[in-house]
Amino acid sequence: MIRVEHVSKQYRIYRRHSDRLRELLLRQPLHDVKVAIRDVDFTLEAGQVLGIIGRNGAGKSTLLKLVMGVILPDQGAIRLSGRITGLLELGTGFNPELSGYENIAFNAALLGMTPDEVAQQRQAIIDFSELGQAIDYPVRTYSSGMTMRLAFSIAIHANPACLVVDEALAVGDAHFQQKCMSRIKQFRADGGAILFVSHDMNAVKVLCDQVMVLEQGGVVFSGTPDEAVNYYYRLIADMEDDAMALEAPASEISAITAREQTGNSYGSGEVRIHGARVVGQNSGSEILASGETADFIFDLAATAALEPVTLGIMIRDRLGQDIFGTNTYFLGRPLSFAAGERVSIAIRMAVNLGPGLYTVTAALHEKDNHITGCYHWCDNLLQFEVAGYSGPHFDGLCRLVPSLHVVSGPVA
Amino acid sequence: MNLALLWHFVKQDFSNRYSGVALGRGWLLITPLLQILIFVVVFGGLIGPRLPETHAGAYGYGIYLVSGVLPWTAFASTISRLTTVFFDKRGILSKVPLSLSMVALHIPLVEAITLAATLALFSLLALAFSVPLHAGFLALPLLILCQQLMAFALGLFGAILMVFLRDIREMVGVVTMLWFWMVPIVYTIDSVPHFMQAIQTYNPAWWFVREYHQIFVYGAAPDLGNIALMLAGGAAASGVMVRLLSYCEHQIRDAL
Repeated sequence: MIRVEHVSKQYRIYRRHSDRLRELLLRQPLHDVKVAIRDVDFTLEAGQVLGIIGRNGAGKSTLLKLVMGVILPDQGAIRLSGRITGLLELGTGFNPELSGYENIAFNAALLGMTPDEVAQQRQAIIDFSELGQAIDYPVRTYSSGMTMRLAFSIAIHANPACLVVDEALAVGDAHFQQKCMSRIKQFRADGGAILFVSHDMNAVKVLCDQVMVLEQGGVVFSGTPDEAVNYYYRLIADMEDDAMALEAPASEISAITAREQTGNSYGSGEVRIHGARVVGQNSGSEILASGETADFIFDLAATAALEPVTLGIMIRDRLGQDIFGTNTYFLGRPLSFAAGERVSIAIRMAVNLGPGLYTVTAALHEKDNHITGCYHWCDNLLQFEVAGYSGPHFDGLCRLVPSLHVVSGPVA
Repeated sequence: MNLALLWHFVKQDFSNRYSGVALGRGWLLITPLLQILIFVVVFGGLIGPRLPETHAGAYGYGIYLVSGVLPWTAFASTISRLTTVFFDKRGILSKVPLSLSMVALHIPLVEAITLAATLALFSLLALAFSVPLHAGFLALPLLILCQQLMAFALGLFGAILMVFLRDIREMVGVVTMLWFWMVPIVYTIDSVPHFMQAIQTYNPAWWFVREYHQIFVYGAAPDLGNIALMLAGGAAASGVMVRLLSYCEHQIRDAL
């Protein structure tokens, strides 16, 4: 299907366009070289979905452009069998003044369809796009979601051997995204190959058979989606750690003091939270798979001898709803401090939550009651994300762990 | 990339210009029609000089002017639009693998169609101004082909240079403006100094403008030998430029 053989791509960066000419005439190099892709080698077979993930600037777009054939490699070769089709970026190739109907012909021709194929597929394209009457109106009157629906519909009906899907799919409402997803799965089941680039780790895990992690133009990891996504998260976490280390002494408490300045933190201050983080046992970062065990770690420091002290947390979802709260009092482990003592506490639990963004509010207070004696209260101290599943898929916010039993009747 | 797609590019170009407008493609003919009439009536009938030996009488100069200006406009606009064609189409070229020369080819085609339409209109008017109908008119499609082949070669050269020097866009504007006045379009070849007449032998624009003059102004058949030479030369030059383009394709695509 797609065979990418040890492909490398360098860009020459010129400060001025005219340097290209001067270089040509003067025969002296006037450019910097940026290695965009180094020695990437992979094969994508029919019916397979290969995911490509990586940070911004890792070379994902360049790799896609090379595979699509819109830029040429410096070394190596790319072999394709059959038509390769990408989702055009919103608006590319659409003439806003023409109707959706009229735009189908040009866009489909761009993707390599013959006039006969266009005539055959036209109705199917219109039906799938769900544009209805709007198909006869100029594309300039379309919302971005409508434009995307038309673009996707044309691309999928172009009947390519390989489909390149990138972030473009993120547009459109949930209904159509799901429709796209099931159509993409159908496409794969019919033997189509897919190259999938996304920052949406859930989608990557759901869709891909294999995932490559790109970093500085090279493949640093290739494996199953779960392994690759974890590798990617660790990569990001390491990067952030490095960034933190550069500004070391101040940063330890800066997170907290920043909150205090914005009024998210208060308390009498005899004992304080001066650092906090979420660490997933597998991911090593604050991005967790649903069901993954994670440590919520809090660094505490007391200025006076205190006993008993309770450390409590509340997890909230993106809408601010209380999802789960616990504290050391409930857990039967009240804390005690000597003056000047510093201690780090981890609350360890399986994060049985559905995918999404969550915040953690933490507090230090007396006994089980933070009204009468509150030492330190930090709203939205931490944030973590649940992405992907470490078991069977489920819908909703809460990961119950079901099992299936036949209680009566014939076994299917 | 196939012919169907090339044709789509041509149609797209026209609809880009005239869609969303009430009269639509009507403007394609209304503007040149008005231009032709103004040139013929104002420069020919009212304030223009008299040309000897023409059939159009008082309007002879107007006919002379228009029969040079129309082909020249198509020629110059082909070159200047080709120069920037890859940058103008970068949105598509950076997404869809298309052959560069095929994408470029739609520009001379669009300009050729426009020229053919305006020349057809002009022919009718010329007949109305008592230019006799003769077999030479049949050579018009060939002449259009000649001039657009040459414009294609020159424009592609500009498009390639454009990658190395963005000033080319402005330079093409200046050069075509100067070039316009180097061709006997506004003036006649007899009315300029001898050296100006001599250099016309090497002026590709004069090669084809001269033949349009023959047909429209002097009612004579064009020089078929000259047309054959232009066809051969234009085709050869275009071939060389297409080769040069594929040689530079790597750099052009990187620069987009």
